Amino acid sequence: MSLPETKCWRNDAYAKVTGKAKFTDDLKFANVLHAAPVYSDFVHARIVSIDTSAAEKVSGVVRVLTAKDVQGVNRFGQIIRDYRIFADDKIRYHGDVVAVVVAETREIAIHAAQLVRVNATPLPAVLDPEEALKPDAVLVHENHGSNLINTHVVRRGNVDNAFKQADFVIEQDFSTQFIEHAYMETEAAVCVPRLTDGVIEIYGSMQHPFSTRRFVATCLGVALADVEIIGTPMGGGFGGKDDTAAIICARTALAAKLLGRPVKMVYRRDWSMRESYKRHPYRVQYKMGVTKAGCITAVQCRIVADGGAYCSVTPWVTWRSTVQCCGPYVVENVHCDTFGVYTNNVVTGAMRGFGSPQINFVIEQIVEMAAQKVGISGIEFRRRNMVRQGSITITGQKLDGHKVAMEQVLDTVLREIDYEKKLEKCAHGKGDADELYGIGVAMSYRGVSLGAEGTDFCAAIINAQADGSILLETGMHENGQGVESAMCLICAEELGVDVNRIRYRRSSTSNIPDSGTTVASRGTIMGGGATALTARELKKKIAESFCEKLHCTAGEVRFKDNFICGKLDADRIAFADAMRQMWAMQKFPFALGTFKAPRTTWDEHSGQGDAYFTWVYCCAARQSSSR
Amino acid sequence: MGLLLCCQAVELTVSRKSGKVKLLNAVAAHDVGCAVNPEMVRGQIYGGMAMSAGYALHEEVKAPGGKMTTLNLNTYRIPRSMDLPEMKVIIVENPDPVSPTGAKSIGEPANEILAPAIANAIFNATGQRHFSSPIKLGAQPEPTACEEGCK
Amino acid sequence: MKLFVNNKEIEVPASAMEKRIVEFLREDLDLTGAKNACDIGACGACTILVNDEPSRICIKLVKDFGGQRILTIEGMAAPDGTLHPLQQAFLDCGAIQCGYCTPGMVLTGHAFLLKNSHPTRDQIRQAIFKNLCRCTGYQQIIDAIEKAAPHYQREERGLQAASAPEKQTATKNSKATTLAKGEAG
Repeated sequence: MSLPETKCWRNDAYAKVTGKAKFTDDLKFANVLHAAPVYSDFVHARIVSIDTSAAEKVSGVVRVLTAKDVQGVNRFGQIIRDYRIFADDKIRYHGDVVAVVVAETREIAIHAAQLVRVNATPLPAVLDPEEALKPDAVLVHENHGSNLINTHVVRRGNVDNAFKQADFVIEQDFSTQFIEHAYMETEAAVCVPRLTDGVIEIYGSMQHPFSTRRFVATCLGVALADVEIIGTPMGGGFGGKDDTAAIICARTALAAKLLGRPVKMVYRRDWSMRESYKRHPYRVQYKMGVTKAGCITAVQCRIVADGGAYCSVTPWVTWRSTVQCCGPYVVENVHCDTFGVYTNNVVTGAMRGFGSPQINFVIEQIVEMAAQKVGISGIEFRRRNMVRQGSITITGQKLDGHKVAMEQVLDTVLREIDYEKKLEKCAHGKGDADELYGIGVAMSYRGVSLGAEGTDFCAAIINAQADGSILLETGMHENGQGVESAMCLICAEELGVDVNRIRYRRSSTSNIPDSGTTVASRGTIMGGGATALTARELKKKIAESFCEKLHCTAGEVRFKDNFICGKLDADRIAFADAMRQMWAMQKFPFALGTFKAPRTTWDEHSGQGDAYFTWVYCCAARQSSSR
Repeated sequence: MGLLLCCQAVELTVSRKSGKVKLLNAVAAHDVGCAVNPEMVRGQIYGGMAMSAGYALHEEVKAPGGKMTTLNLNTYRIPRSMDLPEMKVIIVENPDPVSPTGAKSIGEPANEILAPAIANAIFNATGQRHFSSPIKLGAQPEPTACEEGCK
Repeated sequence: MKLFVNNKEIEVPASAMEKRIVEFLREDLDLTGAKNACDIGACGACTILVNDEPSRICIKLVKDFGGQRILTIEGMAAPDGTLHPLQQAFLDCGAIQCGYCTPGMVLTGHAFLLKNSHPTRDQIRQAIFKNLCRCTGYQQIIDAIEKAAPHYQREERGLQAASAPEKQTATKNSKATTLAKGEAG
């Protein structure tokens, strides 16, 4: 009943389909300045000096900012603080920004940016991650001591014995490429110094308002409360609007703070492509042992991920690849070594899939190759090895407490596409047709992003008004995926009211508690969980206020069809009336709730434990803070 | 906490002359726990499959000597409408007991398996395995007399 | 020089003639629906309709559009805010995610359906070939354009009958714009 006429409901669809939605570049502010980044033409070099004088002389240029203008900390990073707001000691990749030109118009800023001269001593560049791991390799970060960002392992069973017992051993090297997120909207930020209290308001295209706020505050040397990130429609993210987007906000905010005027920086596509982080290219050496019966006995693999010039989230991305290095298959003996490596290539970081696309490209081909060796179909091979209810994963986690529907999804796809029949039609390079026909399948599993240590939690606020309309806000961020709409639908269903009564409040980091980042597929589960629990809290409050009138106990009160009902449908109060009465009773129909993820365990040395994602998030964060 | 389980399959042809891959059809099934906004769940999966097709076949950042040359959307080839097939999505719902709404998630799993499915389909079409992405196919060898005879 | 933007006559100041039209629309007229996402005409996010033909305007100057009839996304819905049936179909089919390509997609679909109101899905796929979308895989966008086609069929029949019953927005638009074209001619 809560759905309006359209079968698909989005709170932002009308604005988007009419062109009324205001993305960052669409926002207008009086007296705004424009900023443009300055790159050097070096790939790896030691900076001697940065000459901004020619740019500063251009009429209309207001200021050229470099590292020396940073009042707070010029370092940045979620795990290792190795990324500079402005390159200071070295250029580490071709997308490093050495300065930002601020001018009265965008054209002037772009023109003047070309006049900034970087005087630097070129260094040999290390572009191959295997080369970077060699003891005599050129170092990207000298004080790090090596180019190794991180390692992860899985040690399970005894692979040497298991390979000896295997009837077949399949060995193959794989490689994957850099991938650009290619969100349709490039990075953008408008920063507005609030004249009344000096707070910097930020409107920007980013996935992670809370970490952006943290980085901006650190860069400016101000308190968290002095920076407010205001939710702005975002033209796609796909994991790509975290580090780079935050750093762009920090540079823009610095300019706004120093100059006391609004500053806008909208990235040109070539800047975005050059500077923004990419999906990690992987090199994977994979070895699988199988028996004649088609059972996997052992997997050994070595994964080398090109982390590019800065750490970003490389340890977390490679962790997921490590714990999922055998795909959705049960393997008793596993030996996996994963290395994240610094190079002078473009930075790599989070991208939709987060370490899975690379490793799945390997596994789902290897299982078919193994099946071929054994002489059974790839499907049959998968069935013999796939995880099932109660299976133990390669990290020693028992899959219970929820339905493991691997075979169900596999069968669903095979049936729908008529796989077995079509497999027989495949050309295998034979025949004389001009077009060679093929069909292929792949499957995977993935741990939902939840962890322990209290970091994976999310807040929601439901604030019902005296006329029965409802304000909702959660700590999740709308990336374009429709998370706000999902929250509204969940809230409507819980409260038994029409979804059109609900307005999702424009988000602000100054209003809702820090609920982490909207990545790792955690939007619906965390935000939705928080919304549902908060709605239940509010319902309890309402039920206690009206159960007497409804001739029932608080636990018996029901919420449906815009009414609050007792045991009998006749005992009911319209939701709007109830809200008005609550205000009269001086009770706020308001609730703040949180949803916390269950706890997990993980042993970094053996790679064993209930391998849920966020535990390692906070584990790595602890490491960095002790550095 | 629940696992996200998914399976995707794809049909394609490889042109013997040019090596060009044409995707004909793709099907996905995902266990999402519970679909809060089903059309949006489908949208996530369609979009994820598209992105994964780009991963397998088109997308590549080129940076000779560390200097990137793919700096815009003309040289960095994300899938266009004509590059993609008709797609079908089947939402499987097994509510997650730990999630207050029963919902799990969908953003990422949608994007992680069409690439290997394409690689497997290319093998089934051409008889050749490809171990590097993006998969680059040249002209396919003409059928030999033996192969014809063996058929 | 004059432009006819969303049925309104716009007098272009001489100072704006050398501007890129995408900037003129976005900055001077505050029509920010057209997005500038690549600057080279590769992505279609800036698509508007010029005399009912899609045009990627990030690579074009204001002076190239003298007397032309322009439709931007802001001109698609009725003045009272009622969505055009094609826009409504985008909502119904879940064709909108981040929304950045949406204005260009809707306008490209509109131009196509004006010419071909009985399209196949392959023809729709071909029609939106020049517009990039990274979110949707195009599937639901094609669904939406297909779903709106019957509206354009009715429009055609209405025009053929040369009757003037009360019509929905699209008719109003196309009539008014035809007039504007005549004036410009």
